Amino acid sequence: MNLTQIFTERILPLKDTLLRLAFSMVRQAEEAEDIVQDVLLKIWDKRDEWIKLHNYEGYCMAMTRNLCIDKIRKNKQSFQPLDNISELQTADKNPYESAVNKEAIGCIQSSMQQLPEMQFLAIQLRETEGKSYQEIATLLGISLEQVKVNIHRARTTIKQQLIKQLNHGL
Amino acid sequence: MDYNEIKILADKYLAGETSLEEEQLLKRYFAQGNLSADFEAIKTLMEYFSSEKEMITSEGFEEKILSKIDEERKPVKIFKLYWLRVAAAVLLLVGAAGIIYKSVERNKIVPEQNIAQIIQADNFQTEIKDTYDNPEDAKKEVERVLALISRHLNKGKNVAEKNIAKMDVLNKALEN
Repeated sequence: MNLTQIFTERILPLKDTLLRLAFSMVRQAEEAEDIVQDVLLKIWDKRDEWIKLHNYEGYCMAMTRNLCIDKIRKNKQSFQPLDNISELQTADKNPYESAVNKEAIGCIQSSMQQLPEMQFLAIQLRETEGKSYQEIATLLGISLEQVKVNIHRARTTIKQQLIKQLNHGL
Repeated sequence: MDYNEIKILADKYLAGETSLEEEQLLKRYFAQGNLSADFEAIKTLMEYFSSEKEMITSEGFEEKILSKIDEERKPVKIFKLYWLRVAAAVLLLVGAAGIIYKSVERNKIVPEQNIAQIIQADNFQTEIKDTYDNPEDAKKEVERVLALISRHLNKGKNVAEKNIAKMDVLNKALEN
């Protein structure tokens, strides 16, 4: 397999997974797609290093998360989840969104952004991609037990943040 | 499902122990409404992710990426072509020199008394046909051509010397 083939057959098909991952951090469809584009081009630039890779998916996901964090840091203002633009866009694309309290979404979003890498990737793969614990373990290169611990910690943290936020609202 | 059953499942969910089926069961239950406030947070958490499950990249995304990758390859090619051009020029010079040298030599080798015989053989007629009647003219032409080659080779040599001089400056700078 040459490099272009690896790219088109193994890396490019991950685009939707990466998009959902980016979206769960930035919560803005267009921005998420821009990030995925940057990630894919960056990965292509690093094609000399692919030979050392054992799993492309984990590598691409980690890179997407890091780029999201960079972007969020760079332009904090434009990522306010409660501004009108993002509200309109997400409401159009996601029927569930309207049902969920906007403030709760913002709360989960910021919790997701602050999760350690493994916790973030594990919960993302489980909740959005619907992967089994075993698949997640293989993808992230950790044990089954560690997968469960990471998911447990991520869910618990987000739940606590939500409860805290709900109590503040009262 | 009664409250206790939900509670057990919700705790299992938080512990990261639920199967995918159990998570579906919880989600379906939460969607029914009439929910105890205890589960509000977990319900919200599950819904947060439901909204992005079907999300895919926009149309033409893949083509856009592939065309950008093609664009990116070109600068590398241009760099390589530059050296290819230099190599081609050198090869051309050497080749031209070789051909001229050979044709000059062939004319020399053929002894005069044999020329008549060879002319009789039709096959070789074109090959040994003299281009110059006067040996003086022939000599002049050969000298002209050789001078031309030598001039071009010197041009290359000068460039090489210049670059070597540059390298020397660099080497000195590095030593200091």
